[in-house]
Amino acid sequence: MNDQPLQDAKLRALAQQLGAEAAERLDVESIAQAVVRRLRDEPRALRPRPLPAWLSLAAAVVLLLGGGLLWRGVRPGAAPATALAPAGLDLNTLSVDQLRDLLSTVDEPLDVEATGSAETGLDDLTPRELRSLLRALEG
Amino acid sequence: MTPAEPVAAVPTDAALIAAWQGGDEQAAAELVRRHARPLTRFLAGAGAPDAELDDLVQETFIRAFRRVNNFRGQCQFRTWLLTIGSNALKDAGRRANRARIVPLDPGLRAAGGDPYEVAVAGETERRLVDGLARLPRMQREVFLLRAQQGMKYDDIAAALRTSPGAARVHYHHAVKRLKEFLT
Repeated sequence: MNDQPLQDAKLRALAQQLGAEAAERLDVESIAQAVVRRLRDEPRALRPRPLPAWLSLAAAVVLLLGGGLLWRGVRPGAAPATALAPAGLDLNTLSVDQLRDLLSTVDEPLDVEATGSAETGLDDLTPRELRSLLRALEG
Repeated sequence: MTPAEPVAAVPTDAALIAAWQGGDEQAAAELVRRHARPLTRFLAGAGAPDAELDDLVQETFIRAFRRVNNFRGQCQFRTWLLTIGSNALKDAGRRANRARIVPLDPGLRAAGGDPYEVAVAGETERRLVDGLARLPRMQREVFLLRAQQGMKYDDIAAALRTSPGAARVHYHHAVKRLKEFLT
């Protein structure tokens, strides 16, 4: 039973001896100067500096704004802005009512923040105006 | 009789780190002077070849100074530095394996004569190095930090991102396996 602590102590003593000779041979001053030289030669951008408080604050604001915009863009019910009209659709073949319906669906997601209603404006447009508006939206 | 010079207070590691961040190169040099030998002993114990010790010590300090913003006093600077040294040693071993093209089995490499063994004086020490090489990395690091460097379990746990209890278990497993290997 008494052998156990002795063995532990011996093991620790052995562990403490590991590398002792190599450490003694080490030219510490040369290594210190070499490290300083390498650090000096590094691009200044790589050298760590404490982050200024204003930079942290600005980064937080950017993240908040970006996150908010992203959330508004991906929330359920928000149609993608590029879905204007089905590809290959000939606008000349649509009736006035069909054109109004199409424009209404197009207007909804784009006009979320508009102060006036898109519906009232569309009713006042002639078929020719409606077609030209749709073409403008198609790009 | 010359008047006694006032004894200058020894700056702490934290003060030296702050001074270096403020542009004082000599603060970095002082940190190297302070910790280079313990780092060398740790790397040698972890199996670093004798011929590569200088380079590894230098590389470890460079890595540490680059990442010093990540050091927030969660453990002693030396403990943190030694774990960086362990990573540098691991990377060096990986590069050496790639250079050999044919990767060697770790067991064969340990038995086949690590260059470090040549430098170790006694047969028991040689066997201890062999035994350490066969341990899982976590057990080896905890053993060296505790038995060789005399670190506290709390400090070891913070540096290795584990709990003090787990560090204790790793240490006892390491001791058990090393004893089996040495007897």
